[in-house]
Amino acid sequence: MNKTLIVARREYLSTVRRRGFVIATIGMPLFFVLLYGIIGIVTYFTVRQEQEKAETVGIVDEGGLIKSDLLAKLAGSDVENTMEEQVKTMLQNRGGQQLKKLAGRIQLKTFKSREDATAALVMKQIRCYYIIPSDFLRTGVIRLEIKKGGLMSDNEPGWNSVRRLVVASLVDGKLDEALALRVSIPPKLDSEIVSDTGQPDKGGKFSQISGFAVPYAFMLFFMMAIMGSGGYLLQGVAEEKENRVIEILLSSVTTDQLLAGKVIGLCGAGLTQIAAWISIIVAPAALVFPFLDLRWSQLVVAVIFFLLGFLLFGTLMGGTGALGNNLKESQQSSIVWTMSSIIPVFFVHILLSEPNGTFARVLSYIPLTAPITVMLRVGATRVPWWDITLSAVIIFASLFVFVRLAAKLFRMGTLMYGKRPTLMEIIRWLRAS
Amino acid sequence: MSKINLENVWKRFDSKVAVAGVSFEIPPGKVFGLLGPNGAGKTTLIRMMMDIIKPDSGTILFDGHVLTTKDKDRITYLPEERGLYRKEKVRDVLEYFGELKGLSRQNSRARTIEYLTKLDMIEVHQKKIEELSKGNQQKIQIAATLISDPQVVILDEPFTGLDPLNVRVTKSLLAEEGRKGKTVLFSTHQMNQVEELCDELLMINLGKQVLYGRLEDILQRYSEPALLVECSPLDGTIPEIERVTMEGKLRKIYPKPGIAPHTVLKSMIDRGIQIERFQKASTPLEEIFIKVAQESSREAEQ
Repeated sequence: MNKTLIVARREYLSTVRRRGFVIATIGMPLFFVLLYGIIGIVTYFTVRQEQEKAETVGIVDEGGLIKSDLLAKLAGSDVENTMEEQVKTMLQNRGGQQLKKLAGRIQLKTFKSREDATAALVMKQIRCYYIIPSDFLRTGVIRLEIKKGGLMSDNEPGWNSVRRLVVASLVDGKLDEALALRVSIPPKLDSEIVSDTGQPDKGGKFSQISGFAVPYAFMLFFMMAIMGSGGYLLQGVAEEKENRVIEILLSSVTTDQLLAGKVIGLCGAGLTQIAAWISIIVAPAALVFPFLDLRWSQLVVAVIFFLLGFLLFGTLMGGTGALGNNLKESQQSSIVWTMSSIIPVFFVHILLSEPNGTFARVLSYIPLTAPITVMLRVGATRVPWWDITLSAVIIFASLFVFVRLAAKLFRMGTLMYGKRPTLMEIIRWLRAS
Repeated sequence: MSKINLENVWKRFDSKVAVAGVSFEIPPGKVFGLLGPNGAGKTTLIRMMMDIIKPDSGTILFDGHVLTTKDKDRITYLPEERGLYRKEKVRDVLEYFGELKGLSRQNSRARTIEYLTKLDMIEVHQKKIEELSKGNQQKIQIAATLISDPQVVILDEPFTGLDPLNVRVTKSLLAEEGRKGKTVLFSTHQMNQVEELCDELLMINLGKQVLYGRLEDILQRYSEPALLVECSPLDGTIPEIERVTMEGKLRKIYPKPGIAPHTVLKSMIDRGIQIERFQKASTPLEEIFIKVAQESSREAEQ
């Protein structure tokens, strides 16, 4: 068998047999599924509990704007209904029994004066109170008095209810029914996702999200796998240097064969991990959620760029990792590559809002940022095929340069012990060799 | 059988000269000793022979040609500082090294079993390296070096750190390789091993070649023309003998110039002297080593 493949097979087997790898490959997705499951269940029950909990909000109507009969019927009412129906009912037949809640489970209570409302606020009988001042019609300002809440708590509880009630009161009897309804309830947007053939997409919004899910998942997997498997590569090189096995290896294979074997083995381990994650997370998700749109073209692009990225970063990490005397130093030497790989994540907003923009294209043509950028772009929009091909060709071409560079570093690094070289020394050596 | 030639080989690390114009030949089927004090350049020389590092100038030929990747399968190497994949099984490690030396997977497996049986270690083949005693780890290391049945065996300080039992095992393995007609080179500080195993030797100091040739010739070159004899008292003068000194219970006899040892022996027997032991007085290699190393260091200082 070719010696590169012998090295690759050993690297692959020794990586996938590591306890850490097995835990990361099988344990981690299960952990996340479990974690998000628990978070989902807890959130569901918490939200339901919140929704069922009635909150009382006070109103001090100093200008006498709110119609008293409406207010009387609103106070203490406790019937759920949709927003539109509530207002409609309120305008049409003033059926107080159905005016319970205008947004969430809010109960409205009126106070004659600010002092009374403040006292109720202090006694925690109400969450807050709104003051509709006597000059409201002139200023249009409604004042809210509320206690300091938490960072994530609702700072305007019941505002929608109060605002719509005020509008309803203002137009009551002045406009015809349909117009009054539209004034009270602002227009709603009803959007539909249309497929490439012009047909309504059966998945709607979900399919848009799920279309992005595959590349996004690949991006996450890529980062996790690069950091995880890259760590094993560095660990392996550091170990071989420390126990001098590297000298025995180099007496049998060339540095190029050794580095190539290590990177190929690593790629295999990375792909195994991805395959496991896909079968544990993505495949069951696709079964459970049939609207998940797993497009083959995206999957192919994601796999190609995953592989190219892995070869690129594996090669670079192997080359610089060999410069360290131990694992810690090797990690320090190669952290620059790990950081480079995640640069596009910092610009994810720009990349997603303008996936075919100049900035996204530039990042796609820089070998170190291209893998993640392209994965994100194909998830966000339809990227021209030539654009993807150009990016792949650039990475592929740069691989030739980086492999030579990394092999030189690897050759120097593997037999170098003692002080870690400075950047200037490395550059000098590279020039000399 | 393979031979190795080095011709005017130089290697510098920054401003330090590690190897300065060394030339020698290891004839096929010979056991060759590479001697030198610490920092003499032995490991650098070996690494260059193994093509792990490149010489700055000079040529290293293997069977008359520059070492190719394919030749690496025929040469095996044991580095000075040793270690193995501690977390892996003995069998896997040996098989891997066998395959890297060009053995097929099947062949490598068979040789692994064969070698473990030979070393009486077959029962540990499924154990991890780290589970073995230090002595057994060293034996596995030697096995990993020889498993591919190489033509040339190069070992950097193979006896360092070995207990007496493993020194014996290693010596017998090397002697066996020599008997099989393999070319063996090893570096060492232990002169008795060289005297026991080597046919030829090279000594370097401060990167320079200071002693080179057949062991026998070197010993003779540095030895006094004297005889060590354990015998009854020498009464009277023996005409063939110039002078006699005592070395412990042995007499050191200096024959007159041109007188052969057997003439001295015959003359002593004729005079009725009882002889228990009669041998040429050769200077131990260790003394030669120290003398040559000191001389070359002095020359370098001047």
